[in-house]
Amino acid sequence: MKDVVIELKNITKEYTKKDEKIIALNDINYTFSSGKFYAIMGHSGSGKTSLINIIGLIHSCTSGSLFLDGTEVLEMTQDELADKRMKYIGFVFQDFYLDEHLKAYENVMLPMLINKNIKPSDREELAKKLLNDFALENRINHYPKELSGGEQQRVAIARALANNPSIILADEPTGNLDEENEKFVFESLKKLAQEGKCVIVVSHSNAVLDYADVVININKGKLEENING
Amino acid sequence: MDSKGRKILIKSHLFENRNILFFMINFFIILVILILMFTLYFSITYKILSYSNDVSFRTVEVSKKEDDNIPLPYDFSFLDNFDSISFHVDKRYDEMEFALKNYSDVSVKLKPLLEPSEINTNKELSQNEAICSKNFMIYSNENSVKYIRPKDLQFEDFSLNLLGVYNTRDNMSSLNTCYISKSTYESLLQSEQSYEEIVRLNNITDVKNFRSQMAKKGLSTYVKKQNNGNINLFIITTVFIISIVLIISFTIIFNFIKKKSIYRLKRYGLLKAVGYKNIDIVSLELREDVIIFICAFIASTIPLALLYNYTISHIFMEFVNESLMTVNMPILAILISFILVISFIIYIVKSVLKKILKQDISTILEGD
Repeated sequence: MKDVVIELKNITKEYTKKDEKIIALNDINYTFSSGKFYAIMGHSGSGKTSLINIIGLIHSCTSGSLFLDGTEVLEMTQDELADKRMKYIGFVFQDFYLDEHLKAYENVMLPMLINKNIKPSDREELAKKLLNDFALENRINHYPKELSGGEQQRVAIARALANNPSIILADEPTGNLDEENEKFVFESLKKLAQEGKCVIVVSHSNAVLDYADVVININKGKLEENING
Repeated sequence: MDSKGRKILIKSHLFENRNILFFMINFFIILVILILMFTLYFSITYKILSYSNDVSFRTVEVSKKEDDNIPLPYDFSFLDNFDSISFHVDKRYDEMEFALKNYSDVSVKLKPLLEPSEINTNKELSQNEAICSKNFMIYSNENSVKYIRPKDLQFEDFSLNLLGVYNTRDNMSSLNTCYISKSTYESLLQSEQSYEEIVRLNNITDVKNFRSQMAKKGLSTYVKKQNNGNINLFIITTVFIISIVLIISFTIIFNFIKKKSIYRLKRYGLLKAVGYKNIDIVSLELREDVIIFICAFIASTIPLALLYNYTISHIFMEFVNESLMTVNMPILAILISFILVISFIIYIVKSVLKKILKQDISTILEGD
């Protein structure tokens, strides 16, 4: 039995647009375990991004509870949530969100700068090692604008792993990539899941089905789980 | 976050185009504010100095009483700098002192109002009317209880009606000095009014030296105080202009910081998403902006210091007696300018970021 890492209880997310109430997530109950690759799929506007943002503690929900490693988190202060994000969560975004003024290894170091468990003298070495793992040893001192889309996303994944989090969240990580780079990204994420991390990916691409252990469809605010086989 | 981490993040963004623009904005704003503050400082100093007898560009009267055996000099060619000279004979108008009835320990000095501008009044005194010092008419006793003297000033043999009050600071006369008309003065004189010969020299630059030479000859001198009407107006105008400039400057700085923060929304969102606390982000932005401000401040103070040494100081020295004071760089003006602007920048950065960072991170990342 895999460890339960994230537990959602009665999570509801409502939006109000022009006096109209839209229910993006409707009373969601679900648990995510470590060592698995979850793919969240659904049509545009189904609530996939809302769900992954709530799990990633970067978006509030209207009601419900979220347990991270057994601890209820949604009632925590902003600083406590920041601490949880730093320790437990690595986020990969569709648009990479690399700092254009920092070199590749400095971008990877970014989360380490606030992690007191990593010595300042070790940061650079760890960052460069992570980049080596993603075949970017020749790109360590390059700025994001000097990298291709695929290389930028690999830097972003390396950054997400900087503090060795137990959860990796990726929102459309291959949305701006070609087929070859998409394959590389999914393979990397799969490998992370096999190493024991809980990997949750939101994707439109059917290619994710070749890697996911569990496929979750969101439809009208509800989850439908399919164990991928 | 440790200092090494901060150094990496601040250094990487310090030379962004927007920061260079921020530097230029700060540079010019500080330069303008400093010039205005220097102007205000000099005008206030000039006003304070105008009460001193020995400051340059004074009108000095040298007088000799009728019965004096000391000859009045008519040859002032030994003096280097004065604009004009005039000679006339005038009645003497020495101060007369009378005790106030019903106030056993209070006496009043009466002087004729020869020049209304002396006490900044345009009132015309009629017979038996007086203008007295405000501080004399409204006084406090030893228990700090305030009293107002009656407008009808009663003396032993006569009375005067109060027409108005003047501010003692305007001409530095003593508190118990009241001004009356010439005719009232002459009617109160108990002896025959004597005459004096007066030499008036206008705009003497080396006043102290002149007065000491006259004192050696046994002659009395009287220094005409400056009329401060114009300088007061100048000071008020300068303060008004400074206020306007500060409002405009702060508006420019506020808009710039707000736009810069909006430009950096995705950066803030990313930092928060990876675990940075709000205080970490505010601290980074503040340090960056303060560094830029300090560099701009130093950069603008340097040309101003050069301008000061070669121009402003020399111009101002023309109006003061060198032995009286040296005109130092107004450090207080520089300090006030520094504190004003940096306090505002710190306040605005904190306010703007507080509003941005309390939103959901996903909203910040969207960049709206």
